[in-house]
Parts: sequence; structure tokens; C-alpha cells
Amino acid sequence: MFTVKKRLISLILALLCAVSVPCVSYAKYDSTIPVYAQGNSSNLIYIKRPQSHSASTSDKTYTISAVGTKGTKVKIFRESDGVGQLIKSEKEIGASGLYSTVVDLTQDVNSFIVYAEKGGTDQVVKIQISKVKQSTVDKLKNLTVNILNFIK
Amino acid sequence: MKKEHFKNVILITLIITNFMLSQRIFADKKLWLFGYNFFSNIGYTQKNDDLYTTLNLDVPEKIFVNTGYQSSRFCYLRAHDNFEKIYSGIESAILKAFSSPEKNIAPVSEDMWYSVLTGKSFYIVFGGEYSSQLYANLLGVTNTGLNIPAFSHIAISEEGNFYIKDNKNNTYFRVNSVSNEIKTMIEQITTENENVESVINYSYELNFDKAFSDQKTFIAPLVAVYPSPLNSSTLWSENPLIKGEEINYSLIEKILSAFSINPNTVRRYTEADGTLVFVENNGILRISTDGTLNFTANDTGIKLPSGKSALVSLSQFIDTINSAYSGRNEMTITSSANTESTDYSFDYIIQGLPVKFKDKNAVNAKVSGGYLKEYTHILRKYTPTNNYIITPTFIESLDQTILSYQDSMKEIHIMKMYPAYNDSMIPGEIIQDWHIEINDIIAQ
Repeated sequence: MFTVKKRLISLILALLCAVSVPCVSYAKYDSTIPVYAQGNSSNLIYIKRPQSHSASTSDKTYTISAVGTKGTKVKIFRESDGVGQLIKSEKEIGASGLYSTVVDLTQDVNSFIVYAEKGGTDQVVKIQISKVKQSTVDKLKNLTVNILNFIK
Repeated sequence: MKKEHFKNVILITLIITNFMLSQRIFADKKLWLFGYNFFSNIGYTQKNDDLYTTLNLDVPEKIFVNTGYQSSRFCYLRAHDNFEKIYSGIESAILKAFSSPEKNIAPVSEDMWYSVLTGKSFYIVFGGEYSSQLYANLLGVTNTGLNIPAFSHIAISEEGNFYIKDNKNNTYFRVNSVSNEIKTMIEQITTENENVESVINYSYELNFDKAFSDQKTFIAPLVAVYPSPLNSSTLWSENPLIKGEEINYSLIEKILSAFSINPNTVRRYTEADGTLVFVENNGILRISTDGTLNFTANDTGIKLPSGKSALVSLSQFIDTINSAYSGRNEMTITSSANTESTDYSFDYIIQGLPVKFKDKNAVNAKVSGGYLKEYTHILRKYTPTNNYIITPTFIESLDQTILSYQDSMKEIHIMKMYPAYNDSMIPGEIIQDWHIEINDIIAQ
């Protein structure tokens, strides 16, 4: 009788562990994420903007866009002092599969960590947005126009 | 002698009073059966300032001011205080472009078009599609060098160059130097909104129009994507055909008059659902109690004012119907229109936003040879309330819509998506939401 009871308790404990371990492991990035964090998947989301995961702008905000499978939960962290701080709370990708969020560009070089998770898999994507002065953008524009005129 | 004079004065006064009182009694609608109130029909004339639809046929539905930054891109609707000021500034540039000879018009690449929208520019969006010939006529230009079969988008760069998209052939054209005030105007708007953050992205900037892997939702490149929910006042919708709990016969008389139907001679009957049917030689007019007018011509139809294009004549007719009941009722064209068009559709535009009915427009009309052949008009009176609501975000709304298709579809292509009021045809409070027009659904 005593052995049966012990086995039952062990079974319940094992079940509890089986259920809670994944929860704990994916709840670990609540408000911070280590900069070296790596996911176990690479196909949960695809970053559409910035396409090459880095971009330059003279704007004070930047819209990150992505596509992913329905039910994928996405959070955005900002890299600061060697750790990622949560800046955009969890948003679940809906039936459209589209995701977009606007981030503030507070530094000259802004590094973001996009963290996506669904079921037992997760993915980490690093994005870097650099701020350039408007005068630099204007110079680049003029240069492009001159090159285009030269080609013509 | 003095007594006689006094008698005459009293007699004349009595006669005048008699005429005045008789006129009031005869003109009282309640005295007469419907259709026999000869006197009360006198006196209804359309005022020029009721021509809200006709006078705004060439006016765009919205103007985006691109300042070169996504965080300060502004959208001005017709109802906005500054819309008129901005439009009057760019109207002359549009007029100059449409007046330009063909030799000044050059084709440009798609990349150039997008680069103009990304930089400092005005992006002008129309509710319907016009041919350049028809639009030039609306502007009073008799001979335009532009030969675009259908356009609904125009852009004017800070350098003052005019760009237009040919929707039919998916090509782009430029007319150089139509204005030298654009840069100043954009700078002024930027300064005025210095402390306002207004993030708007075009779909092409977010690459939502480009395919990748198993992406199933595609949004047309020029759709404006708003990251935040929108806050707007609700509207109160009324069916003017019903006054209290009774049919507004006074309005019906004005409508009959617009359709050249003589209420004294017309054959009429009422259907089981309460629809009033008027049968005349030139056609049948059905007036449903839900506020829908439906006219079908028997033969030639109703003669519209001559000497004007079909679109202008039809708009005047719409204004006549709309002005039959009080309130500012403006409509905007939503169909394609060219000089040969016969079928037109219009929607109400209230607070600068279109009002959408499920699967139908506020007005659908067929015009041929200067005659109105078919005409459907949903009569509504809208009044803004002080009740404000917040819409779902752009993507949330898209998710909700796609949810109903997701099991059977492989791909969905969104052609248009913009804020609009959705009217369910039931009078009462209506709210602003996202209106989505789907171009194509590819089944699994």
C-alpha cells in the first residue's frame, strides 16, 4: 500500500516537472534576455524590415516588420550594458502572419533582440539600427543623383 | 362719410386676412391626401451650396504629407481644418501638370515613384479611378497631354515634379517643375506639427507586398499601415424616410419631383413589406422603408442636365436627392470613371471618411446617352456624436478578417485597407473600423 502511494506521488511529481520545465524555460526571458541567447529554431519568424537585419536612418523611430506562423509570441528587447531589456511586450502573431512594431532610436547605434517562441521552440534574431545625420542622408542622395546623371 | 371709410378699411383687412389664412390651410400637407397636395409642392428649389458632391468631384479623398521621416508622416482627410489650405496649394500644381503638352511628360521607373514617396512629397489619393481625360475636363482643361486610362494616385515631390501612376498598365509618368512652392509647404507643415508624432508606413516599406517562404498575406504596396489604434467619434445614422414612426411623405414628394414623376398622375401601390412602388411611363421607382430608392427605366430613362459630362450630371442628380432632406451630405465617387463610362458608384463621405455598406454602395447608377437608366440610392443622414471609440490596430483587424478564411486559403491579397465607417443599414450609432478590400484569395 505504502509503495503504491509513493509511486503515485512520484508520478504526479514527474508529471508536474514535465509540464513546468518548458514553461519555466520560456518564461526566463520575461523582462531581460542575455545578449548571447540563442534559440533552437530558425523558421518561426522572418524579419522583413530591416531585410539584412541592419539599417541606417536619420529618423527617431523605426518600424520592425516580420512574418511568422500563427500563435508565435514575439517580444523585443533593447541591448543595453550587456543585457537585453524588454521594450515591447509579448504580442502574438495572428491569422495574417504579419507582425510590426515601432521602436524608438535613442542611441547612435541601437541593437535590438527579437525573441520569438511557439510551443517548445524559440528563435532569437539580432537587429542593429544606426542613426545617421540628415545632412549625411542629403549628401548620399546628391551623390546618387550625380551618379545616375553620369550613367545617363 | 367717415363711417363708410372705416367700413372699407375693415372689409379690405378681412379680405386680405382671408387670403392669407386660406393659403396656409391649402398649403398644409395634412389637409391633402398624398399626391394631391398641389400647393405644398411649390417652393422646393436646390441651392447651389447643396452641390457638395458635384463641387468636390475633382477633390482627393486624402493627402499624405511625406516629410522624409516615418515618425512625422501626416494624413489629411477632407474634413481636416488644414485640408483646404493644403489642397489649394497643390491644386495649381495638378492643374499645371494636366495642362502640360505631351512632350513634357516622361515615363519613370517604379523605383523612382517609391523614392518620391519615401522622401519629402505630397501623396494624393482619390476615392475612385479617373481617366486623365475625364479628370482634365473636371479641372476645366480641354486638351491634356496626359493619356492615362485609370489613375487614383498622384505624388508631387519637394522639387515640384508631378508623378502619376497608371493603374491599368502599372506604369508611372512624370511632369517636371509644376510648382516651386512644394518644399516650403512641406517645411511649414513639418514645423506646425513639430511636437506631433504620427507614425505611418506604406506597405512597401515594411515589405508586406513581397513574398517570402510560406507568407500568405500580401498587402498592396501603397496601403498605409498604422501601428497604433485610431480614435474617432461615432456617427448617428438616421433613415430620413421615416419620421417618428411614420413615412416622411414630404420627402417622398421631393424625390418624385427629382425623378420627374407627377404625384398626381403616377400609378402607385404598396408591396407587402411596405415598399412604395411608383409606376410611370419612363420607369418604375421603388422606395423601401429601409431608405433605399431603386429606379429602373422602362425606355429612355430620365434626362439628366445636358451640356455636362455624364459624371457631373449624375453628381448633380445625387445632390438633388441628398439635399431633399436637411444636413450636409457629401458623396465621393468610388468606381472607375472615364469619358465613356456608364456605370458609377458613390459612397457617403462623413468627417472625411467613407461610409461603407456591406456588399453595396450608397449610390449605384447607370447612365447612357445623357439618360439615367438605373439608379439605387440608400438615403441616410449622419450626425457626429461626442462618443469616441478606439479601433483595433491595423494588423489586429486584418487578423480578425483573415481568421474566417484561414482554413481554406493558401494566399490572400489585400488591395485596399483604410479607416471607414461601417453602416449595417440599421439606424443608430455606427463606429469607425478598418475597411478591407480583398483582391484575390488563392484556395488551398
